[in-house]
Amino acid sequence: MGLILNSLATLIFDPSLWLLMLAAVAMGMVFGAVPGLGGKLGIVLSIPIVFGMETLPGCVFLVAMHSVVHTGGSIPSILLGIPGTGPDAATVCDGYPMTQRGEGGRALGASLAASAVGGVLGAVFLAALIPIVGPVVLAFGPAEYFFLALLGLTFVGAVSGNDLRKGILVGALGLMLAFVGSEPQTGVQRFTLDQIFLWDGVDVITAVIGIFAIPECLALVAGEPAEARRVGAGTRYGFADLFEGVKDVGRHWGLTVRTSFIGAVIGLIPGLGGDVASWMCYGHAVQHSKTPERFGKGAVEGVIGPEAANNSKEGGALLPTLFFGIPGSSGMAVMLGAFVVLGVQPGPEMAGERLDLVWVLIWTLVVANVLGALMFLAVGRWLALVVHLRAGLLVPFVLLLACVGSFLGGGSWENLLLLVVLGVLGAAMKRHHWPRAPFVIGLVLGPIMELSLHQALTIWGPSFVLRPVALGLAIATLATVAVSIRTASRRKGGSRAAA
Amino acid sequence: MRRPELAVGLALLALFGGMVVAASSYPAAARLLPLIVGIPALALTAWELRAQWRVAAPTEPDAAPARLERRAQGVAFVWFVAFVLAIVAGGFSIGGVAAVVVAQRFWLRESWRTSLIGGAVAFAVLFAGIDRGLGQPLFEGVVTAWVRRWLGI
Repeated sequence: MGLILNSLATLIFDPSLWLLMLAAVAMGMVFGAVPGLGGKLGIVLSIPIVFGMETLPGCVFLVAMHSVVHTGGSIPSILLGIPGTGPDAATVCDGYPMTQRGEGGRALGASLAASAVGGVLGAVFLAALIPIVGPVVLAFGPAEYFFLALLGLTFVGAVSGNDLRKGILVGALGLMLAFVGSEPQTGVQRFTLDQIFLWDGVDVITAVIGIFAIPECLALVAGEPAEARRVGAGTRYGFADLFEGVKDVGRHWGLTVRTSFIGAVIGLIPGLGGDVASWMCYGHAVQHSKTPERFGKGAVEGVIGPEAANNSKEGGALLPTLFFGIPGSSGMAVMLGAFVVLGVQPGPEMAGERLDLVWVLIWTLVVANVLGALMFLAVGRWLALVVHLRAGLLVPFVLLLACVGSFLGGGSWENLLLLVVLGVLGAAMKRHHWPRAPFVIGLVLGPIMELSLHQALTIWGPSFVLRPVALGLAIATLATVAVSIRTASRRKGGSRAAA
Repeated sequence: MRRPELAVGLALLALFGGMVVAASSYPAAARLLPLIVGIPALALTAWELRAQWRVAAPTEPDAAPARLERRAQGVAFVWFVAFVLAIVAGGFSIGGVAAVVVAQRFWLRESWRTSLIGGAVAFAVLFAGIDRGLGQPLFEGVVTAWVRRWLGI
C-alpha cells in the first residue's frame, strides 16, 4: 500500500511532471484528432522529445500521451464522421448520426466521460492483475485468438439491423477484403492486382473513411436545400448538452463498466489491437440493448461502448508490454522501443525492482485520462461549433482531411484511388439501405482469424478446438449465433405482423 | 439502370465471383479461408438478388424530386472524384489547396473571398501543420513530381 501511495505522491507533487502530462495530453489529443496520425506516430515523434530525459518523466510523458489518443480521436468521428484513428471508427456509427440530429454536444459529452471512465477502469484492471498476470496472458494462444475473432464476427448479426442476410454479406465482403495482401503462411500475394500498395492489405482507415465518411459528406451537399446544409442544422448547444452526455454514461453505467472490462481484456491479449476492442464493444452494446434498432441512427450507447473500450484497452495493453516485453498492440510495440531508449528493460523484473515505476505509470493512466476529459470539456463547446458551418465551408475540408487520413493511414497515394472505389460502394450501400458496420468488423477480424487458424492447425492440428479456453469461446460463439438468428426471426415476425 | 436497388447485390456478386475464381489458383493454405468465406457468400448473394428481384420494384412517391436528388448525388460524386484526382496530380500542398478553392467557388457557390480564405487555411493546415509541424511529409503529386524532375529542382 505504501508503494502505491508513494507512487501517487511522486506523480502529483512534482510540478514538472504535471507540466509534462499537460503537454503530453494536449499532444495526444491532437494526434488522435487528426485523421490518420494516431498514437503510434505520436510515440515515434515523441522519441526525440523524451530522448535524454530521465526515465520516470520520459515514461510518464509517453504513457500520458498515448492514453488519450482515442479521447481526441472521437472528435472528428462524432463531428465530421471521419475516424481520427482506426479504433475510433466504431464511434462514427452512432456518434455522427447524433451530430446530424443536433445532438453532437451530447455525443461528445458521452464520449469524453466514457473515455475517462474507461481509461481509469483500464488502469484499475492493470493494477488488479499484477499479481496474476502470468497465467492470464499465457492462457491465450492461437487457438483462443481464432475463436475470439470468430466470436467477434458473430457481432455482425447484432449490427445488421433488420436484415441479417445483408449484414452477413457485407461482413463477408469485409472478410474477403481482409484477405487482400501477403498470405501469412505462404507469402503468396492474394487479390493485389499487382499493386504494391495492396501487399500490406486494405488499410482500415481508408476503408472506414470510404464506407462511412464519404457517403455522409456527399449526402450533405446532395439533395438538400442550401439553408439545411449544416450537419446539425438549427441547433446550438453548450455545456448543458455536454453534461447531458456525461450523465448518459452514468445512466448506462453497467454498459460502461462491462465495455471497459472487455476493452482491457482485449488490450491484454497481444496482437488483437484497439479496432477489435472497439468493434466488439459496439457489438456488445447493440446485442445487450432492448432497442437494437436505434443503433446506427444515433444511439448514445453506440458511442459509450467503443469509447470506454478504446481507452481501457491501454491499461490492459501495458501489462504484457511491461511484464513480458510482449507489446499488446502496434502502438505498444513502438512504446516498448521508446521504453528501452529511456533505459527501461521490460520483463518479469518489472514486477520486482521496478514496481515503483509500474505504479507511477498506472497512476499516470488515471491522471492523464481525467486531464484529457477536463481538457476536452473545456474546448468541447467550441469544437462543437464546427457542425454549424455551412456545407460550402465544411465539405471541402472534410474531403481534404479524409484524403490526408487515407494517405497517412495507408502510407501510399494509391490509397486515394481505393478511397474513391470504397466511397462509391459506401454511397450505394447507404442509398439502398445496406448495413455498413459489418464490413469493418470483417475487415478488422479477418487477418487475426486467418493467422491464428493457421498457427493453431500447425501447432495442435484440428484438436485445437478442444483446448479449454478455446472450447469455452467456441460455445460462446455458437450461443451468440443462435441468439442472433432468433432475434432476426423475431424481428421479421414482428414486422410481418405489423404489416 | 431500371432496378437500381439491385446494384449493390450485383457488385457483390461480381466481387465474390472474381475473388473465388482468383483464389482457386492459390496454394492450399492461401485459398482455404477465401474459399470458405467466398463460396457461401456467393451463394447467399445470389439468394439475396433473387429475393430482391422477386419483390416488386419500389415505386418513387414523386419522380421529379427523386430524379433531382439522384442528379445532385451524381454531381457530388463527379466533384469528389475530381477532388481526389487533383490531389493525385498536384499533391496535397498544390492540388489539395486548389481543389478546396475550386470546389468552394464552383461546386458549393461560395464567394471568391471565402474560397480564397479556405484555400489559405487549407495550405496552413497541410503545409505548416502536418507537413512541417508534425513532420509528416505529404504526397507531392504525380504531375508535380514530374515537373520538379523536369526542372531539375
